[in-house]
Amino acid sequence: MMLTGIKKRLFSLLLVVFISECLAEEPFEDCPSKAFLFQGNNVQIYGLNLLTGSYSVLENYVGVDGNINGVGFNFVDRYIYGFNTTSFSVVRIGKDFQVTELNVTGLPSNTTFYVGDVADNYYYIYRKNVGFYRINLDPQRENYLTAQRVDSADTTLQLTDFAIHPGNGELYAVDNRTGILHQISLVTGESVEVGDTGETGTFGAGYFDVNGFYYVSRNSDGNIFRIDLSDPEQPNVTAELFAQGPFSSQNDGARCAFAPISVENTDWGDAPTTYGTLFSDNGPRHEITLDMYLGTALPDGESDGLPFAVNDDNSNQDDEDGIGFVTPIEIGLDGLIQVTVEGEGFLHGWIDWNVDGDFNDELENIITSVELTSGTHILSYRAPISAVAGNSWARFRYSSAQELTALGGAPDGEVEDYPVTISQPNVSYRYYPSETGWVTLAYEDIWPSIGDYDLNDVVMNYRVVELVRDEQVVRVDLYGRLQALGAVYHNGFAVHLQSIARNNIDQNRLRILFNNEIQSFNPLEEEQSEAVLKISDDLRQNVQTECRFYRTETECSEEIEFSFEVSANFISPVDLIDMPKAPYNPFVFATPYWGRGEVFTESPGRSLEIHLADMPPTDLADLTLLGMLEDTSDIANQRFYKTSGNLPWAIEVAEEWSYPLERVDILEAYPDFRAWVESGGVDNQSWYLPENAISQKVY
Amino acid sequence: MIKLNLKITLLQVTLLSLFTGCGGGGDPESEPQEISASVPAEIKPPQTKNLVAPDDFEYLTMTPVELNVESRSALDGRSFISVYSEYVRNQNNDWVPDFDSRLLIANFSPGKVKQQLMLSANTERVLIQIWSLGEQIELVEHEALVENNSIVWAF
Repeated sequence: MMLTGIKKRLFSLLLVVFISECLAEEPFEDCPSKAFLFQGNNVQIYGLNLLTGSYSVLENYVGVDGNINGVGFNFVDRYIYGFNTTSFSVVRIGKDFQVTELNVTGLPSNTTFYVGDVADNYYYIYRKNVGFYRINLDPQRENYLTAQRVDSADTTLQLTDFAIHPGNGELYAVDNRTGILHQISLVTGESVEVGDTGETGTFGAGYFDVNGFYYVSRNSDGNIFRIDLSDPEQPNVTAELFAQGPFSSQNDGARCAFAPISVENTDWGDAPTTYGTLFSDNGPRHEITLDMYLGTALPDGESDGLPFAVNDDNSNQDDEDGIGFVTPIEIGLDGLIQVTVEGEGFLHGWIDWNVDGDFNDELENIITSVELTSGTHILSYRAPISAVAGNSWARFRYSSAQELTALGGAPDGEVEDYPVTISQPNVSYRYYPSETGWVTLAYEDIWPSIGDYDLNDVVMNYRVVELVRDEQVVRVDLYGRLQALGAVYHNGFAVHLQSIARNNIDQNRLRILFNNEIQSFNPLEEEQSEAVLKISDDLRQNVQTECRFYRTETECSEEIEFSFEVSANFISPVDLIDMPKAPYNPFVFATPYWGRGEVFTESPGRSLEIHLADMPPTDLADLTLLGMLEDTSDIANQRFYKTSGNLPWAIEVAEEWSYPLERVDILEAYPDFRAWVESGGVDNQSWYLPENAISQKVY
Repeated sequence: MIKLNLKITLLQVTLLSLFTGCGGGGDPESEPQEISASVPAEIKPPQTKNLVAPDDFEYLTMTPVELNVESRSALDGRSFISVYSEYVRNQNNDWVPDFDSRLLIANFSPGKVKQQLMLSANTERVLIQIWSLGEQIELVEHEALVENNSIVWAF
């Protein structure tokens, strides 16, 4: 079929219209989380992750020559607006990052602008000693694309960018010369000083996030600072170094201020909060890349820092494997660390020498920007003579960023935080079961009745560290982490150091911490002849569970909430041969005043103790309870807490153990347990390992 | 004082009454069971409470092991021994310890260490590393078997 001439022309016209429509710029589809950074002449556009400072080129050529500055994101039409400083024209940029020049009237001729942002469908631009202009971007309003000068505006400020607060709609900018943060009215252009940020320089790009934090990027070094304007009425004006981005002499930024900062694909630290671990504290974080990290395991991603006691290794995969202290940390002496890294980068390290909960003090930055290549390296450091003996923390960061502090973002690499012990020279450490491992103590609390053997009424991870000097133990540190409470009874927890006299514990140096915070009470129990360290009278008070039981039912799963640490020095060091064997004698007891079922008409309270098999009760136990009901304890023969079938009310498992779910008999969860028990521990010694568990029967 | 005691007694009575009839870990036999005469009795799986263990069984999965390491030649400078239960060989065939698994770190400057360690009963071998900080940093290492509850290495 032939087309007539008219039809041909009509078809051609429609085709042109169709192609034009297809090629026309389109707005962004959403409110992007990344910041857009415009640099160079001709301009290039980068996508910048404010959290870590990582960036990538989004567009090499925007379709026109020249530099584009004063950019801002208009969330009404989802275009970026800016000023072409070469052609002196206002431009619009869509999702294809190509420029459309707009015919704006009312601006001074041959005058360029470097400062701009968008709000409420108006584009605001500013230049010192020239003026503050408002340009209508809404075609439905009068004066579309007409610039109006705001005559009342203060035009004396030395600014290179400003941004509009998503909360109060006011402009904010840092004066480059003075470092003073100014708040500028969009209506009048008048400014007020908010305060001194403490930083000066050409801040070519400024952005807000949805929470009201203001980010400014300094041209000379790419440093991104954060200013807390989350409450504009009570601002924290001090600029904190947040991340390092690209630097350029021509720099401007735009961002959709209604988008939160993305935390995807980011590795965080896990030291206690005082060290600056959380996002809110500008905690250290690294964008995860496949080619740069500490250790041999690619970092797992988290949405925020995971402060001890719920630390990074426990939250996900065990990826804290880059640093090993191969010698003890001895005050005044050199020590060695073994460092394993992937990729070429720079290592930074800190140790909190004075144990004050931060890495800010002199000499605490032990490794500064040491360049490494893939592989394993030995590095030395010196512990200052002023270091304080005790348990502390270390932080290591590996990145392509050459200058890092203990806080802030990094575009790649990894951060790893480690608990460390600082000691006087010639101290050895003996660990049970290992330096950072756990054994699991699992109790049935219905003693002296026989239990249901789900062995989850109290489940405690537990570790012992002994400090040894000259064949004598000078100190013991006990660590614990409450895994589960699968009982309605209330139980306390304590550890009896058999054969260690109570008065041999140095009470002046006795220290107990809950969730890494020092507690004021004395854990050394009164009225005991031997040392008993009481952690809690009622473990239920140490967790705030919404569930009927704490962490024993999969349909009501909760995070671990309670950890403890006790450090006990001996007044007279104890010969190794005289030390009780770890785990010593950890036990649970009935919480005073709480009932204990029909067996007891009165609350037995502290006098009811439940120990591991054949471990003795303490002085505070009511010995008349021994031998009741199913219990066949026999003091004369040193037989304790066993049934007639020699079954226990508590066991210790050699690792962090997946215990049975509520009311699941351990035999259902771990069938190999039977042969282990009946053989007296000879057979099936690996019964408790994950591969021998019925996975749907364990927590 | 009398008032205080009365208060405590009242509290005890209240709390005891709250928990009368409550089980500890939740023994299923203490809870009401639905009875159905028409359903044949199921074969119950074995229950732990019916097991019988030897008299002296202590239910421990960790066992004491005697460590005895001795150097026949003098070491240069301060020396330290570490013992690890978990480790691998890397691509260069070097031992890489899992530092989390360290059992002991001790001064080895005298050239010998004799201590009792507690190991899980199924640990068959350990990695021993000795670092010396003399004029040069030196490492001596050895994979040792756990035999007859002892670890012995002389070098």
